[in-house]
Amino acid sequence: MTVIEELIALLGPERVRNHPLDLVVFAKDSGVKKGEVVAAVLPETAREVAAIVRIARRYDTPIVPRGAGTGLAGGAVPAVPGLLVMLTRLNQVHEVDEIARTAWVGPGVINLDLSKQLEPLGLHFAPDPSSQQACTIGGNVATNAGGPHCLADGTTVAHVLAAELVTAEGDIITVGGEAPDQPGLDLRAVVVGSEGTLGIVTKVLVRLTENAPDVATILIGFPSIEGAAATVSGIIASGLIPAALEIMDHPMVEAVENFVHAGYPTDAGAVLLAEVTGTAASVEEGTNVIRSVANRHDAMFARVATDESERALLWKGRKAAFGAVAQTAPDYYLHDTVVPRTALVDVMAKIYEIGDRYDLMMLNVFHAGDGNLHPLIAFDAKEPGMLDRVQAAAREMVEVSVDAGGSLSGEHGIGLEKRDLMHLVFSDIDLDAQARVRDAFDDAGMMNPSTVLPEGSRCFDANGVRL
Amino acid sequence: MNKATPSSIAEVASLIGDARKNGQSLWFAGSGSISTPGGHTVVSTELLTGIVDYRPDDLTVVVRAGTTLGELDDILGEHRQTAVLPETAPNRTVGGVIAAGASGYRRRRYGPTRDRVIGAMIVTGYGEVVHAGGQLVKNVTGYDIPRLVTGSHGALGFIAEISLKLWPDDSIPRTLSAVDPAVLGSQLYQPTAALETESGGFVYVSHVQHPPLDWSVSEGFDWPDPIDEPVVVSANVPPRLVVEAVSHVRDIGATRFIAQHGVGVVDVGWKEIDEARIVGLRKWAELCGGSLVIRRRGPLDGSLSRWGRTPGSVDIQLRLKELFDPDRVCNPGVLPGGV
Repeated sequence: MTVIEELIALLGPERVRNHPLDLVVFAKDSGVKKGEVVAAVLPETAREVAAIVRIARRYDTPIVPRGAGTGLAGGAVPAVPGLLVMLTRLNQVHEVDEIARTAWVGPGVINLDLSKQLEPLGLHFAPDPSSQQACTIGGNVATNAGGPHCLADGTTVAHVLAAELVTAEGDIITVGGEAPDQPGLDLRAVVVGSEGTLGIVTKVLVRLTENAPDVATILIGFPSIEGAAATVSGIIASGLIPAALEIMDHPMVEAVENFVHAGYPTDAGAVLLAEVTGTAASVEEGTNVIRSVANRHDAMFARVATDESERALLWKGRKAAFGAVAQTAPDYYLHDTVVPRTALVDVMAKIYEIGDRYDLMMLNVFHAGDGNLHPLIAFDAKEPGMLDRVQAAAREMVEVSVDAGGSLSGEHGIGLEKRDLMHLVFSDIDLDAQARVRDAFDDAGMMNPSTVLPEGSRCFDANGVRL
Repeated sequence: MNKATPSSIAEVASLIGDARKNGQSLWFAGSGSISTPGGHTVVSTELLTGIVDYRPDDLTVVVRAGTTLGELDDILGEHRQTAVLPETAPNRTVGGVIAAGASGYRRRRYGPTRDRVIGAMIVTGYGEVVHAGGQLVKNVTGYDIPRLVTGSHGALGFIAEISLKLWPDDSIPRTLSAVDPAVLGSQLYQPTAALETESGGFVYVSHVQHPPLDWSVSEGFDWPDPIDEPVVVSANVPPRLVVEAVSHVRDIGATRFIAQHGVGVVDVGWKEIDEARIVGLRKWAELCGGSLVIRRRGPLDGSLSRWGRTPGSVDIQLRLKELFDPDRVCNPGVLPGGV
């Protein structure tokens, strides 16, 4: 039997996809990297996932887990011919514990669907990436996803208490637990954000967050992006951690306004979307702090959304930003770096300089409160030499972020996209330690090989001698 | 017992390298709040102290392992900031608290200590100095080794420096006396803590908000005194079972206890206790998916294990130990399952 025949025997032909069209469609995620898919399989239970892993292992076929394919770093793209394990059918919300504020959910549950389902209980799942209408909880776990509201609430790792994991050997284990402080090493902490390289997560115990009794969403216009960035640094330095602090520059505001008419000012050099949540008194206090810091940095206006529909519209503008860009150019490259929040003004200036020098159309919308930058380059890949220019500029943007004390990725992950840039922030010894973590889970190199770490990261042998 | 007091990371690296060559094992110690088994050379962090880099405007700090919580609090307090580490242990060291994965009472509001560990410098069992994470509040560059070493009790190596994410200090701290802290805690928005002790219930809030009934309120956070009995354990249970845990603990006659509603941690102390009762409590906690950890053994028989049952993921944990510390130089057997 071949690996495909064995998989068909396990799952039936409908759940083993290897039609040439499937292989093309599934060869990439939402980023720019393409891979090679042997087949895409659609398990419905953890036991099926475990059986798939055992079959793939026997045939020495690497495995790449995949959720909705909204990732931007190529984390769900097989760099070497591999089996794509699609987790979208593990999409049940198994149980919600209203008192403990937790829920066991399948990795295929869509992020926004979970929060919508929890609304009657006054709860939500805090990580809210811009792709939340499509992305899955499993994908959020794989990338340790963020989103605008992780400024106060923390990224996905702070909202995952336990995970059921199919190991590289095809065993089913649980890491973490319902009770706090499980004795032993906290494997849960390293499984979250491991981009499918340490096993396949088949169930997740998520921590739910109570909806705030009061909220204020404030739109502030500035003549320039410097004022907006300085306001963000000033708010954090004043001792206030708002629920969200998002900046959009002028080109992005124009694109969004043309697309969703959210009421953003197209005459502003940049806008800051700030949100404070809490009790009525703390929301009022937070709003006053934001207004006063913004005024110190020459804000043109500060408008507080007066009702839920106005608030929803302001957020729709923010979350539709990437869709809006699709109208302006056929392709876009969305970048993700992170810098200390005090370095925002300086690093943004350098990023604009790079965009100008390469003569690229650049738009910015980013999680300013976390120092998480998202320069977005809109282009037409059919133009000769264009993709090379885009990638060269992108690399320089990473370098200026790292030089300012920053790092490669704040929330998208490393994937294939930034694997070969890991040396910019880590020494050989640091990368070797990371490769050891990976080997402890998967010494045969079955799980999403070639992603996250550059080739040859394991550079010391068991005696500590350089290979 | 031999004791080494390295004053630099390079000295730690050569201590570990030498121990490895000579087939010795080391035991890393902070303030000494966790006892050291015999037969090891103790490596103390007492000379590895102080702040490496504090950036108040970024709300991040990098600190050496031997710095005490009291010293760190004093420095952060000047900027009205906090690392949200345990509140009532000023003499414990930052390295010791991170190695133990210990959280304070404010965990209900701010999450466990682990969620604020954003970077670490460790010396592995090879004597290599490894950096991971950074001084950034949001970062997914590579595997999260800083979170992995939090609570590792030194099993993967010596934790030399830690980078922490900070919070602004609570501006309006208040302590409410509550007959039923579990209920009051659930009626308020994001309380900082809801504790129940042998002498009553207390809910801690930092937002301006009014309790639903007329409770007695005092200014500031008034934390319970640490449990200082000869025998101390922590029962960790799913948060919904804290009420039940408290009733078990009362039944078996605890001298002191501090239960964290909404979190699931119940610390218990006894002047005298029959070992069988602890075994019973552990059995119940493990049956509900939790654990019971012996913090202070006192007169208890050595046969009662510190951690209880071995975790299901022990194979992977042993491989991690093997890959970071192949000769078992660093705190060998400190974790369950011989890790």
